[in-house]
Amino acid sequence: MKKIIHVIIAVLIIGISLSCEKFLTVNPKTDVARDELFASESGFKDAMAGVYIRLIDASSYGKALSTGAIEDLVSSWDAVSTSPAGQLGLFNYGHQQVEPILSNIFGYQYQTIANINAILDKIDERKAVFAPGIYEIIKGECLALRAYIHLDLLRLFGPMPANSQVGNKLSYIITLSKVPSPPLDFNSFSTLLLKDLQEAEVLLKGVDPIRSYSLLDFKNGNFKSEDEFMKYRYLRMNYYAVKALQARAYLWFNQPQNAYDAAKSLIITENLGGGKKFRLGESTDFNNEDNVLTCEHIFGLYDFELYSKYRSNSLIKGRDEVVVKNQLYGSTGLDIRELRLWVETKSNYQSDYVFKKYYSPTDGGLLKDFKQIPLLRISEMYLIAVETAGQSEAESLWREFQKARGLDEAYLPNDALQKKKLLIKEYRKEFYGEGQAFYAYKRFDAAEEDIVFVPVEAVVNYLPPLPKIEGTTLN
Amino acid sequence: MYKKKAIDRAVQWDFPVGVSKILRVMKLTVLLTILALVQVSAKSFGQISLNKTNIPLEKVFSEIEKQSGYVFFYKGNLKNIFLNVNFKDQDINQALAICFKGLPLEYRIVDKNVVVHYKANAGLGTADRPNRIDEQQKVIKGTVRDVSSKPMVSASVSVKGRKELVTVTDGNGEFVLKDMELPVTLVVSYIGFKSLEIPVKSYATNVNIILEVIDNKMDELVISTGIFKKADKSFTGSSITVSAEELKSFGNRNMIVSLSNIDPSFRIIENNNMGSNPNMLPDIQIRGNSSLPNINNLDDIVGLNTPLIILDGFQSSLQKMLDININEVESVTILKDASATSIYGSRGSNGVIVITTKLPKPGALRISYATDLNLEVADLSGYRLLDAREKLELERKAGLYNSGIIQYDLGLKNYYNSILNDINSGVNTDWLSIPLRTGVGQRHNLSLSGGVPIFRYSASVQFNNIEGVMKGSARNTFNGTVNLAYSLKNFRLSNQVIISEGRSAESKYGAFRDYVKMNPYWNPYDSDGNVLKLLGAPKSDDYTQILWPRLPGNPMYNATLNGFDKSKLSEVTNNTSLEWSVFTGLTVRAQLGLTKLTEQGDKFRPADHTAFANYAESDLFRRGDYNYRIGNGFKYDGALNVQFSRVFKEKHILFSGVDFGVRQDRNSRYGFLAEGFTNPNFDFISMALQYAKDQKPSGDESLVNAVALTGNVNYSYDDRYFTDISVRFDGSSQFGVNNRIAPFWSAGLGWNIHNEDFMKDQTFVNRLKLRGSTGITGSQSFNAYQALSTYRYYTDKRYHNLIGAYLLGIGNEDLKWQQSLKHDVGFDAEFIEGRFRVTADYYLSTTRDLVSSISLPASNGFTSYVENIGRMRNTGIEFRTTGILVQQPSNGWYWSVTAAFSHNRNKILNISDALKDAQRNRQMESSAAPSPLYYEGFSTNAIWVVPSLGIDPSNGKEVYLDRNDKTTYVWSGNDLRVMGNSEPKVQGNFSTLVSYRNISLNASFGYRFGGQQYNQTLINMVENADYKYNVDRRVYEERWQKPGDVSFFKGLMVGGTTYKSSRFVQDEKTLVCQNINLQYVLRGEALKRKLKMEYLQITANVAEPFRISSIKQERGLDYPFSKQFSLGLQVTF
Repeated sequence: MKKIIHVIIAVLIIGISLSCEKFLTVNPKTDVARDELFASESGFKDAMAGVYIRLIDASSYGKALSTGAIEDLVSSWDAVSTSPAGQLGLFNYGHQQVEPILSNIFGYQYQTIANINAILDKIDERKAVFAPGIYEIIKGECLALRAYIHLDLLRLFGPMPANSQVGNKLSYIITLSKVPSPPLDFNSFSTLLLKDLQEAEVLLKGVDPIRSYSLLDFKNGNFKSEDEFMKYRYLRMNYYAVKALQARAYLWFNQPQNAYDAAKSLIITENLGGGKKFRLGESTDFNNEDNVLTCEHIFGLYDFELYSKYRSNSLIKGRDEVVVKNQLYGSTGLDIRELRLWVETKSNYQSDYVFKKYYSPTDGGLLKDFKQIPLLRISEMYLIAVETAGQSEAESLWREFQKARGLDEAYLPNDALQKKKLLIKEYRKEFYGEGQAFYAYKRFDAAEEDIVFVPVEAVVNYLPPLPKIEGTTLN
Repeated sequence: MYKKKAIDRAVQWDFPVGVSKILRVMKLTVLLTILALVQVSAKSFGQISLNKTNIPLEKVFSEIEKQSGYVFFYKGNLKNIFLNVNFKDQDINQALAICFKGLPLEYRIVDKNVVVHYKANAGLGTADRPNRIDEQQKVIKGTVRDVSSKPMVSASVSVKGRKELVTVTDGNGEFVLKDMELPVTLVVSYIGFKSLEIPVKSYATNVNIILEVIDNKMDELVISTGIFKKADKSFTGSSITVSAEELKSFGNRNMIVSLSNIDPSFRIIENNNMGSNPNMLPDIQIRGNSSLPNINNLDDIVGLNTPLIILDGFQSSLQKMLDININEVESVTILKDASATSIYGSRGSNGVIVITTKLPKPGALRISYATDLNLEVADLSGYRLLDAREKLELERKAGLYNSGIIQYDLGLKNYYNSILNDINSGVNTDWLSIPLRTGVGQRHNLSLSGGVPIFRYSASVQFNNIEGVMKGSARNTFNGTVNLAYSLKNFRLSNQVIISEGRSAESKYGAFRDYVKMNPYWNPYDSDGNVLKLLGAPKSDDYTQILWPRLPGNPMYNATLNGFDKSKLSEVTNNTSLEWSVFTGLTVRAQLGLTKLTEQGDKFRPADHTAFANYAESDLFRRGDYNYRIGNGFKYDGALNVQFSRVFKEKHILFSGVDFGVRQDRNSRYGFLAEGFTNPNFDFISMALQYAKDQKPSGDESLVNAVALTGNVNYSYDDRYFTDISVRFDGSSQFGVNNRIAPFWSAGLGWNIHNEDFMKDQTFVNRLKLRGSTGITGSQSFNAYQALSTYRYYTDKRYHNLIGAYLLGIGNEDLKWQQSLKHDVGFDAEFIEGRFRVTADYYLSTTRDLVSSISLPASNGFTSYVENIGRMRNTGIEFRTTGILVQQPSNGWYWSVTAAFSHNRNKILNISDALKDAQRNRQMESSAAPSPLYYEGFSTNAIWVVPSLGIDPSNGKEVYLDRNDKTTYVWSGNDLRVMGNSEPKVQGNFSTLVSYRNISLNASFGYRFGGQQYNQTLINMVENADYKYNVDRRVYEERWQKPGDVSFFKGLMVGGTTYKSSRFVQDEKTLVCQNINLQYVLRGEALKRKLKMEYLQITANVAEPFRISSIKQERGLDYPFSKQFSLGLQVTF
């Protein structure tokens, strides 16, 4: 009898402990465990889409890093000096209302990186679940997005490229972990970032349909795919976006030749049937109410709330056209940006001069769906090439670019300082409300007088301190 | 040999062995059920009647068996015995007494068996003739069996008064004692069985002994731990067992209150906001606070220390403990230290409450009915408010009716005069009484039980209606229980079904505090007696605009509307247990508990409700809302339990057990809000216009799976030295992948000094047991999924046409349970034949691996993750003594006094930086009431306030001491210090029980001193009082008024709001009369004859009749505290 009991108990214990591990693994209903999500390709796709949803959040490129804090830093909009925006315009980083804004950007961007790393950490071991090409697409996009976000963090919080020894060191996070990563100096950071881009380029080169189809093919449905995930490549970190990001990054890391090569390659890229892959926008585009110039977007984010966002919350500079026209565009009367991007609105007894880049077209429809936040545009490639090419080529590119903007009499000075001042101005005009001006000023180490709209009482400072949430123990 | 005349004799078995076994069980079950039912319906409740002449004794036995369900065991030939019997409606005792009168036989009733044998030296011819050789050798022989006639191996047989004369039974259950001088009394004992004393007057017969299993769990010898039963004499843990009778005589509200009235280490943390709201779940601690909240739930500290509640071996809930039918409870055991709780492993840290319900008792059908009538009356002794005239005078003094602008001033003066007119015409509203009532509650309980030894049953229904002191606030619970117990040979099968439903309703009148602040010069009704929506409307002009830009709402108004706030909780539990006594000493038990739980909440506010008063014109149609919540839960709990006990070489007693358990607990809840109830008469949810604007359904869900293997060994040497060792391996899905299985253990040592030789010759000390234990237990009161890295899908966002998921946080694969290292030393002593009993304990418990957040640099993506960090310590003393001062059975007097106290000190040893950071804002908060703060080196009950030096007599301002010990008029959160501790140094209770014959009086008192309280009334209702509303009397009388006044309170118009300051920290000395209980019990022949009752009890009870405290503050802010008066009746037929 005793024996039987012992046997029964032994069998029970063994049997139960075998099924124990399974029994003790419980997955929540409202949420999905990471391993469960990454058991299938669709899980990876959902996580990937989640990253893009994070990017269009107001804490990220949905506002803070497009029209929000990053533009407040260069006083793009009217702001009371006591408001957070006003304090940002004064580079008053220590202000108690400014600190949380910057730390929120910092934390949010790194959290997006964590979401990317969560995918990257698992993608290689799960390679088998992917249909052909999808693995490369997702991994390539992840690597490049990781680089994109890191570059913006560095451009905002890191040192000035001209003096990279001074300023914050940032961590380049390549895995999701509870172990803190050490902050890196400018060069080590750049090495990791460029490596990610290199890898992404290789991965995407062979599989990205954007290389064989034109932007129009994607928009008018000539590119056919069963897979919704693959349909809108121009709204994703595609192969050309990687190249464009390389150009931007090389320039920041003081490698003008590489920057030139990358930028130039994009300028000359043509569709299979001929014609530029990414053409410069012209007044006809504005006629079509494509104020963000989607034809120029090498990489843009689709934000379905874009129009409603700015309908209620307008971006205002000045009471009337005077300030913007004079100070920003130099009252050319020809520049299509000067003529087409602003509108004076009157309400009650007050008038406002409102930035209408993100305004809704008067009549909607799919053909006029321009709800794109521009992140990398061909115009930037022109400016990079102008900055890095030899004088004669630079002049011809400059003319091409200026012509598209409505200015036929373009002149590019040969003098380095003059050229720099010109480019500083041009970056501001071209990327107004796109969050690039601060970085340009920072890269050129623009003096106070070169910064359009800077308040007189501001003390220019391109080096925001590291947010408190990063902790001080590591630095 | 004894013949067993049981019912199975009647059944002829002709099946193959294997099949027949099963069939036998089945057949018997059916047969027994029918028999039991027949018995129930046909019999006159166990009364035996017999009228026969010259009938064989055996026939008499079978007659009695038929009528009573008792079974006779006898030996030898009784055929020659004939007798005349004639009696009617007697119980078994009397029937047997009549039958055996004059016969040379003796009988003993053991459980439901009657054991019959010849008198030891009867002269009549017996079956076994006395053995002369034995007689010469003075040998006593005998056999020990259990009720089913199985010989008991290794039972101990000793001679009373001579401990050295001891033997154990052999493999046939037989024993031999040689060289015995008659007469002697044998003491037969076996672990888990009732000890028996048998006088032996002759060597002639075999002494046949039948030991009974200790069924009655209240037997003081056994501690019920919920998993293993342990003999008290060799138990090294610290525990207290309370019987159902004690629970009842210590209070009539619910089991939780009664328990805290008995044991001071079982504490209900008083909730001054919720008072005596019958629907509030109390916050309970055993031996102090052992858990800390994490950074995201700093405000959610209630329930962190809730002990584990075990109902008949299965995990239950606090709500269940609150709602349980106390009449069904046999006993409650509180397990406190590691030795007692480590068998619950990861759930045992906060202490364990083991509730044992009554097992059905065999016998004829017994019906018992109990009822209570309860009156609840609000206790408003802490409220000292101004009356109408005083209030207006205060307002005048405070300058509410003055204005620098002349036309305003005039308006204010007019307004003042109109109020004064009202007062003069007699308006002095007693707002406090408006939402209150005398709650009249009632409780009914009907139960029945009965059966034969092999099949027993009981069933009960209870309806409990508690009416709170706020109008409309009520809790109605229904409990239904059916117990079936079936035993055959070595098997015992029992099944219990509990159905319970609790319905709660909140008062429509809202929060009590809204009435407290109403000005007494306002009349809540208009001249026609209708309830006003707004108060203080001026008689003319628009001068209220200055004093009241918006007129104050009448809190009573919503109560006149057709709204409700109610919820309902239904639970069905089925517990099954099958026990198999493989052989004496080895039992195998399998048990399974299933519980299904449903809860529902409905809250409706009609469009007219003041909450919608501010809705814009365009939203008018959105007024009125309905909040619907529903929850479901299902859990199962299964265990396989093997227990083995044996006595080796007479002195070594070993008890061991192994238990394997599997548990699953699944819960889900969701709810939504609908709005737009345009017609106030339609309160059904489908009448809503729409779901609430911009809102989505809410909900949460959890699933916990757990397995556990528990082992326990108890070894005792010679009843003097003993040790207890437990080991448990717990696995739970709540923990990180790398820590799925964790061990817990405890080890205890004990010494029964009273069994030592040197204690033999004295009679003063009857018992002195020293015990000590150490061990580790855990607690797992945290989020089911926080060890996982999980993704959540965006429901309101997309990227182009793609849906997306995002990462919620960094999981911690190494996360494990919070652990407590507990040490305990104590002793139990009894003096003068049990007239004085003392139990004392000293404990030290260190909670380690507190589950807390760890800060991460933001670049890791998340600023924190959950880790085991932090330590906290509780040290304390518990002392309990009972003295029986008078015990005179002759004239019926009995008087005993019990006193108990506990002392606990709590100290945080280590917490995470993330938790410190998270508290910084709370620290800097300029609020009137201190928030709990957790910092190393301090107690969790520390009161953090800015030290105050009092009021500067020259200007009426408060003088603070800053962190550098400099005086300042400026309050700053940086200067917070610990200025008190809300945990009293000593907390205890004492009670006295006096009884005279059938009447007994039990009064219990609680006291605490040595701690501090933050007097919120003084700051909220006096110092920061908003003079536009009613305030505490002390505003009027004790505030600083002019330079030179030495006053406790700031000047009336000086210095703005007062923040948390040490001025309001007061020493607390409180004495509460917890309960007074008066009982009158009747039983016996007379009752039976006259009223056909077996038992009658009448009870009067008063809960919390009075309270004396050094702190004068308003108690029960949102809901008042109450006193309860009740009258109860209990009868058994």
